[in-house]
Amino acid sequence: MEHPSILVVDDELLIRDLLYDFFQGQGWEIAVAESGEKALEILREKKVDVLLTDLRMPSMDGMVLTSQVRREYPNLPVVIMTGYPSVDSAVSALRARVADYITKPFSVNDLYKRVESHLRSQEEGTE
Amino acid sequence: MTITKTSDGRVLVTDDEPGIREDLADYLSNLGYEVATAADAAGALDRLSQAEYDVLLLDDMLPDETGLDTLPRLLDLYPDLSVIMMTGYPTIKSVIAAMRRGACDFVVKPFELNELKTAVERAARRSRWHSGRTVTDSHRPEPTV
Repeated sequence: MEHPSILVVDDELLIRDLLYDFFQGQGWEIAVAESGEKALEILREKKVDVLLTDLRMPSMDGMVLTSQVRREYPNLPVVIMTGYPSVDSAVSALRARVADYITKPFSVNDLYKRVESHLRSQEEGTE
Repeated sequence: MTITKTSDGRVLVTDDEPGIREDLADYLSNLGYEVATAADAAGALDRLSQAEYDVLLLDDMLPDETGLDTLPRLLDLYPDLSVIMMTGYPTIKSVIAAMRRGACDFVVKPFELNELKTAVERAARRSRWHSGRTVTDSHRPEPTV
């Protein structure tokens, strides 16, 4: 995929900015949203190849967003990132068939490798 | 392909504790599944080579190899198999490893039998969907546990 697109959802501006600069630097198309609701609006408007979402956000949290995304876009890979990991939330994420669950703080390079590998698997699966 | 079958699916229970194996096998048989058991990873691989299964319940703490270490090899050989990891010692790392290695579910011991029932039903549906099979069975016995 020449210019993959990613949607980053996080209520923390710092994380959104950091990931925006990083993915743009890698030649990706990137959109950012500060909430689950805003993310759903963006998904309805533009094609996204990977969704990267924070778990704990005010109003619609990452798991609720994931469930909704699963219903509307069943093949869209979802990667969860969280600063508050727990066995329960990781199990819920597994059951919701998320592609990955990444704990904060993370290295952006490691995150990139994981996101890229899920995108590749998705491409191979749809070929 | 549509197949007519006499059970709700085939489940392989792998756990080194005989009491757990037997209890789970009885419970799942009463729910209408065809159930086989194995006591370790080698036994599970042996069973899987002899018959087709929809769901594998795989304990992590096995005597010969951990369930998590066995998981990628199993799924390379049987990609349509739905694997439910079981452990009494869950960690965030182990759940993430199970996710990345392709498990479809993760249950923490001790668990409610109803939780297991839901997990197995979901896993069996997933397995049938992956293998492109449709099940046509109308006789589903009531659980008797």
